[in-house]
Amino acid sequence: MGTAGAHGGTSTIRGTTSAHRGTGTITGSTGAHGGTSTRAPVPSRAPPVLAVAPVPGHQYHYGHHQCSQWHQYRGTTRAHQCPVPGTGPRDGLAVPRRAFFWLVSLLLSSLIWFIAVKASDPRDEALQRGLLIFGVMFSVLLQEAFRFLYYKLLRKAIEGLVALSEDGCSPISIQQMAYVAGVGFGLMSGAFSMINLLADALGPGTVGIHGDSQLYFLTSAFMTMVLIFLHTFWGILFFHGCENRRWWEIAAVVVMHLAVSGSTFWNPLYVGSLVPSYLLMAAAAVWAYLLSGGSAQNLRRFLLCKSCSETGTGDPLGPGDPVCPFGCWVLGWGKGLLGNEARR
Amino acid sequence: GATPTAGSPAEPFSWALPSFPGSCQGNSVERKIYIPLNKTAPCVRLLNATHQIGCQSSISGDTGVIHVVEKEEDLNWVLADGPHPPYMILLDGNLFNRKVLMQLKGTSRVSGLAVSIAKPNPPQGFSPGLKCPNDGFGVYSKDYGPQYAHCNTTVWNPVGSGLSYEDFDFPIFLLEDANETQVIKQCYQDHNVPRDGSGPEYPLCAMQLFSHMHAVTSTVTCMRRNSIQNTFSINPETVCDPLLDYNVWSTLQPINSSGKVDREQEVIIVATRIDSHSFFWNIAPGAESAVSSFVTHLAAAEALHKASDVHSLQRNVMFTFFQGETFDYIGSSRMVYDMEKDKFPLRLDNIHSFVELNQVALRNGSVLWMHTDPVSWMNESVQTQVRNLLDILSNSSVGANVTLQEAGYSQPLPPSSFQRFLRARHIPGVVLTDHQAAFQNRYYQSMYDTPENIRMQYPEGLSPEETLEYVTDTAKSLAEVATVVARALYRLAGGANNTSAIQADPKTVTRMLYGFLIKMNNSWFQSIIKPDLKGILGDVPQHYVAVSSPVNTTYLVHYVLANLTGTVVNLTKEECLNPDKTPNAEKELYDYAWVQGSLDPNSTTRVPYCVRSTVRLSKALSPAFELRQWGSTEYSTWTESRWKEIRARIFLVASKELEIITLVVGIAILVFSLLATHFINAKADVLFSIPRDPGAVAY
Repeated sequence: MGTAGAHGGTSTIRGTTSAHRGTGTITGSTGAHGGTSTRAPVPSRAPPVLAVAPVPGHQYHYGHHQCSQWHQYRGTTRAHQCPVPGTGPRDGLAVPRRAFFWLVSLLLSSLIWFIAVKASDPRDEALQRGLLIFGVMFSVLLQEAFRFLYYKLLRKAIEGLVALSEDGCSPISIQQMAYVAGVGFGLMSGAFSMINLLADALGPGTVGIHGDSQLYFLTSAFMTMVLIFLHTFWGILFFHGCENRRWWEIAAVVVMHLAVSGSTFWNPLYVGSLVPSYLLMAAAAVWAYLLSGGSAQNLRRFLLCKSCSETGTGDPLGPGDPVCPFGCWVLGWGKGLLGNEARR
Repeated sequence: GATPTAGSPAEPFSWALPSFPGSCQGNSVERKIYIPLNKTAPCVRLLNATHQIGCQSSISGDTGVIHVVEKEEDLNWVLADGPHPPYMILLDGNLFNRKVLMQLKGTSRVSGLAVSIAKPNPPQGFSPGLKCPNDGFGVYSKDYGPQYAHCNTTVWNPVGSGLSYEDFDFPIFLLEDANETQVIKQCYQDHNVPRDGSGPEYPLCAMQLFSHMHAVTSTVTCMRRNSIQNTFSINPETVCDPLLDYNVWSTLQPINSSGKVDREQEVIIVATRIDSHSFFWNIAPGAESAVSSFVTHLAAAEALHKASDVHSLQRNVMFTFFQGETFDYIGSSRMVYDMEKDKFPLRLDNIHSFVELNQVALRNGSVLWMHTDPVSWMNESVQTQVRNLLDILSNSSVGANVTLQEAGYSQPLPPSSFQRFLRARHIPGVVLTDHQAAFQNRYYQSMYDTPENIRMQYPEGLSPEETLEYVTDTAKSLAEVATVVARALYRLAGGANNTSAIQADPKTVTRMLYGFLIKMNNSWFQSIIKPDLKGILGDVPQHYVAVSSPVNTTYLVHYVLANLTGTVVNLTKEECLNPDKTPNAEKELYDYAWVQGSLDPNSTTRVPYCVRSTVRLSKALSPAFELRQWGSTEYSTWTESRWKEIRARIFLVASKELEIITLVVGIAILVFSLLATHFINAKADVLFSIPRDPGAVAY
């Protein structure tokens, strides 16, 4: 982890200063060579791996780029400032890792279910249904267990990253981590539940010859969507609960997960599974939003574009600059349509 | 059909275990959508020198909304009124005729056809074969009896519609299972029935048929493509294969199969065909057109072999079973070709006379008609021999329950293998049939040429074993014919003794009829075949010549003939399987078969034994392919196209509106989510500005 972090820092410097030398390596000779050609030269004696002490007089440190590099795609660097939640290149690494954890949990639970089904009498319908319910519930618990394991792993990783960094600042906050983990979890579960369906949705037939609903594909898509969202919010809730030892938050996630999975047993009465799931999703969304720094006031400011009028002109950060006027214009136009004066 | 498992209600969203539910029965979503039709027979493409016949679908299968046509009026909906073309028609078997099919062929509103079998057989008769079968490949032409060519004198198969010889550009399947037909009809009733004149509402029940054929145009084209592929491609893909198999033959007195018989040796050939055809692939019951005659032939061979002095007879008798005769005389033309090219133990000069059995089960009263070639009558020497032949046959029927009558000099020979021999030599010969002029058989070369057609009837409630042994009236009457034939052959071969001892066994005949028409996998057939051929005994017999050889019919005729005419010899398994290493085996004269024997009554083991017979196989591949004359007009050029998959399934199709709504909703949600993500990301600082939770403070 430490090696990778230092490596990342090295290549970032190269990336920002001379883009064409994109292939940064961590060997000393390359570092020295690079030093001769960069605008902000790195002293050739600078150790390429694990810079423990900051190099005085230099704005660029090996460590702090891990904090700030998520901003670089916006064309600015904000050194010595720990990031606020957002997305960035580093988050992209966590998504597949998270997805991998979900896959492992899927593999384990399907293995157990498969063995149970094979070992039981396939003609006993009640037993088979019981086994399926058991399998789903078991899988839910296994997934949550893996979510916890992943949390533990990330926690260790962050500690490692913090130890490496020079400003005592992890490149990724636990909130970001929670969000990214949830997205990864959700995307993988969504992908797995939709792939079969998409393959068969090619046609020429559609569901229904055995009396199933015509809206099978559509409702499946909506269910997949709600699950992806739920996993994202659950990730935030769960990590928050772990971080603050608020066990009821973790318990709430597990209960919600069980409830949503259980509600699918209402199928083919799709209202019975979709409506509760979406209600739960709304609740989970509000909860996760509040936990990750949101508030009703913030939301109001967002919707009414207050931030634009306050930060739109002189904000040096300027992340919203190109977007905000357009967004407000849309909102303003909408309000104008309703007869109100747009608040600019 | 696919029955939903216990877990199916949860399957759509059983995201926790997405692909595992029902893994033993395939994809669960697919089972929710499709009902596969497992018991179907397709119509496939065959090709000859100039034409392609049969049916094919597009490469990804043809789909259409199902419409059930049970009356001719129902066709109007398909051809004109229906708002959802193209239609997949479920056609009642009684409407499967030329008039309807030509109507359907001429429209683009039909994407395919599924035909249900008519029960009982259509009373007006049904034959998809030609009115003049094998026209152009028999003996009659502008050089030989031109007045008889092209069935000018007698139309042999007047009910023949020639449907088998039409080319359809949509798939046609036969539904063999009445239950599956009922499932389709139910689906149609539930979804597709037009109400109050207006079209039915979506979703509609539809069917998809896959039968894409690789070969096109003609044998000339497809064989050329084959040879190009074989020459240049390292992974050649054959597009068509010639129809081929083996003729089965044996002789009364053993002859050296690898050498040549003496020029002076005279041989009487008895012949029948052992193949049939129908509109559909691998459906060829051929009860009257093939089985009745070759079973009679087999019974006659057995009866003759049992005569005491057969080994001292002046002339030999050759029992010949021709394959592929339906397709322009593949087997007989090849045997004549081999005889001419000295590739056969016999020469054409050795043939003393020719007796052919050809459709003998549907006799009017007890009359069996003797057909002779009117052109041969012109030749005086041949005329005498033919006269002699007819007299011997007539005399043999004295006292028997069969009356032999001459069909008349003014009429040509019916379609028969004998015609191929006549093309080569003026051989005296006779063709025995149950019809004087047109066929008695109203189901010639159709799927209705079944045991019922030759009036095989069994009492209710018999076990399979009892059915096998039950002697039907058909078996009795065929045994009588066999007796007459065997006695006549004895006389023809120069036998002088009293023939009353020569008697065909009705029990053998009834077993053979049961085995070749009703159930191949019976205890008798099991006991007389080689142990490694157990697998060929399918349930429903059919006698299509096919492209892979030998087919079941050939094998079974071989072993039945060996069983009926051969002798059990006391050899061990090793000696029996390697007769060249066995002293006194006379491998050139005899064929040895190690058969598995019947089940011991008290145990589950069999007692195998060795059978010595004179039964041989000879290749039945048209000489056209030997000579690479794929456009030949003299020899059969029939080939069968290859295909990748033959499959049928039914399912529901959604309306275009629902499909578009689904797509539009999806796109709308995608766009909306992209926009929402963009705005939230852009204003993350506003939305998440004051972290209320101290624990969430970043490092």
